[in-house]
Amino acid sequence: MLKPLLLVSALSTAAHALDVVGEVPYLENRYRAAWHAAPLSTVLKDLEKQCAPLSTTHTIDNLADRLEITLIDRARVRMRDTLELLERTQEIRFTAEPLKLTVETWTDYRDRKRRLVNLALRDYGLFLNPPDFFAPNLGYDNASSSGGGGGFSLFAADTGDHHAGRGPDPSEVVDWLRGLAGNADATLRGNGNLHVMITAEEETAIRAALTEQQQRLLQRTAWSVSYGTLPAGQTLSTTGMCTPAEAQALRPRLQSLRRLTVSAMNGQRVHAIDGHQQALIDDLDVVNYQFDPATSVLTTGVAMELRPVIGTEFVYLSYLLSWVDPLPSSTTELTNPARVKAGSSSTTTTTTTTDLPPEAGKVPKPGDPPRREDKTTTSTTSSEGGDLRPGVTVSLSKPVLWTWKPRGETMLPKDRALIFASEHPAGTAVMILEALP
Amino acid sequence: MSRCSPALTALLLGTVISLHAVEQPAELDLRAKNQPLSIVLETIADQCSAGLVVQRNVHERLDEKVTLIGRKVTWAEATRWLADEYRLTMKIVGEHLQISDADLEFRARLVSHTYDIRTLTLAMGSFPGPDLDIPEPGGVGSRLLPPIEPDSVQPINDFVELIQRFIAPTTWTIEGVGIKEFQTSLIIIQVPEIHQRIAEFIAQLERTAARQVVVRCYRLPAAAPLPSVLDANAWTAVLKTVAAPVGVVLSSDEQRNHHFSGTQRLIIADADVNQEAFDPIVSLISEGLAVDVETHVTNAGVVTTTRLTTASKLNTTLSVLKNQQGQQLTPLDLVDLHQDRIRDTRVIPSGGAAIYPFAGQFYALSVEVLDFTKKP
Repeated sequence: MLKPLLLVSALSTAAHALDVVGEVPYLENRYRAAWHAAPLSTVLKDLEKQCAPLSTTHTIDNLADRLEITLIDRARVRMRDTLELLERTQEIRFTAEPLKLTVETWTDYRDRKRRLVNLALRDYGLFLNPPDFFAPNLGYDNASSSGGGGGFSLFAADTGDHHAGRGPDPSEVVDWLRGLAGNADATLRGNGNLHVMITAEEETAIRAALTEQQQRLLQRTAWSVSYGTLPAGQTLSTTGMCTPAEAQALRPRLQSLRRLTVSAMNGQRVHAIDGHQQALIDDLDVVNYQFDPATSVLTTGVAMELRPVIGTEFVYLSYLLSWVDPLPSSTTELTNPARVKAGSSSTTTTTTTTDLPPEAGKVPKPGDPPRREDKTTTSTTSSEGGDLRPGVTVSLSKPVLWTWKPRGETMLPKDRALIFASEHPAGTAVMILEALP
Repeated sequence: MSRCSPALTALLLGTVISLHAVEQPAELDLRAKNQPLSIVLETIADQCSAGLVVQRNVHERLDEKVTLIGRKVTWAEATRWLADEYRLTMKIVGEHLQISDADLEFRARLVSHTYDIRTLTLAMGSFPGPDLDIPEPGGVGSRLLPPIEPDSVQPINDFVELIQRFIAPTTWTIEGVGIKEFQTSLIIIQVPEIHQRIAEFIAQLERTAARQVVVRCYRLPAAAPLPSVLDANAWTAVLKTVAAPVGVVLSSDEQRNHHFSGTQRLIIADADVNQEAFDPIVSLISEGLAVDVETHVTNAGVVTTTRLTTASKLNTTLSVLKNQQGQQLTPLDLVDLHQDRIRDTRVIPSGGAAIYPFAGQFYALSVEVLDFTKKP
């Protein structure tokens, strides 16, 4: 439904009634206007004769000879009706009091009526930013990454909380609300409080617009996924998109029925899991000549991850449904046998210097360098050879899983459900995805 | 002194009232020879037995000289003439014929409404299926699935342009009228009847975007050879012999999506020598059915690009590496996998099916188009 907005402009004069202070008998006087493109000054003189002394603003005085008015009555009408007609068509405002009639422009009147209003925007959910919840991965997403394999996460399976980035920019909000209030003076303070100078009519208009935003932001949907199997050979005639009644009729036929339900704000990603987690050694590394077991956690069961975005007639639904059942598994033992460690050696180098006697037949002169001989000795020593490294045996788990993970994005009519089917060791696996009231 | 009878009084009163009853005449007599427009308007007011009030800021237009001869002019024709020639509106309000500026009158009826069009602007991704190959250690084959391929996001400005071009294009320049993005939605200020057209336009775009295809995969009992494509009637007859589909894929028009179900297990695919020890390379192997389809709806049927793969009869032989002393160093799982694969493109009538013979078995892919643009 459309929410009417009082656009804060001169046109909003259409939404008011004459301001009357106390008992004002002259409003019941009857008068027949005959102003053919008459200056405002002439009109005001006529009104003063019929009503009471006029009080005008500076702006009205400036307009008095420039503004032309055409108002022609075919009969005498109440002065109240004439003043209201002038207000509605000439963008001027009257305030009728027993002893005077005040006339001012609509802008002056609006500015005079404006007062400080504190709008708590958070009350309207404007800065609401619920987190996105990505479902953890069930079963295998990709091959283990020990040396081989791509080792990337297909579904960005991340259980951390993320915000969907729907929170508005505060300056964008202020601009929007100032626009609604005829560029009124507005300041956004902490905690989402907007201090703004507005009239009562402007406040009504802004609150109506905020309420419309609130209804949009706080839209919520609830969803259910039913998981079960049909025995082999049983017929399944309805799959794909179906009516809720067809989904309802199928559910009692399913065996081992499990059901997950979630509720999501508009555009929020949510998930639910009915799972079983198991820690196992499914890989090995070699570190410092030894096996280093790599432990991981394997999750089996059923899970749903949904992100509904509500449209006019459809819900844009991103879905990832997972069903992983464990099957009889095997293990393999790996042995790093005992072996002799390789030996190591160290080399020592020694240099000795010896003073020699003077050479035969030669007499040393003062300043001659002394005769010396350098002798270098190198020795190598073997050490630690022959140590025995003990053998290690590690049992590696190799789980076997039955896996089915339908996913996609669909424009789902608001009165439809989805039914997926697959082969299963027990017959036909069925998932029913439907909206809840 | 004579007194009027009550009946005569009532008659006189009725006459007086009828003299002053404001009425919009069915036809107007408009004649002017080089006269100001204001005179013409006073003439119209007289024919309505109404007073006249002119809104502020239009007096300049009333001074324009008019020459016209119009007999039996309908009210609608006179209104359109004023709007087209002078951007003025005319209507009876109370006891007066009110002349207003058309734009001001338009602005007085403006309302604001928020349109959440995320259903149209979200990027729709493609979801390719797995290959089911035996993984090559160190290669991409060990991935279960190739990465998701997101499509480009439709900019919200495209919708702004569409709306402004096709919905009341001349009104968007009027002061006060506006269209602005706010929090992934559009805030539009327009008059109610144009809001209705915008809402219907957006709903129509949504219905168009919602066209989808349901692809169902069946394993058929061994039977007489079937044509490669069956129409809806022929497929309906075959379908009676089948209990349940072995896979269901829902995809939007021109979107790629897949079904995979089957058994997955870890194997020791290889071993590297690392620091005098064998470092096992563990990898993942799958057997089962993978149906990867990309659909394109046409008038002739659904152009369906199919990547159909089955991997079955998995046998794993354990091979053990030993050293010269007979000590076991590492086991290796050597995989023997039977795989059938078809990659092709066929035009399948909506409601019909394509038949794929596979190693003694028949698979059928039926397509059903969900079109929400055709109202029942």
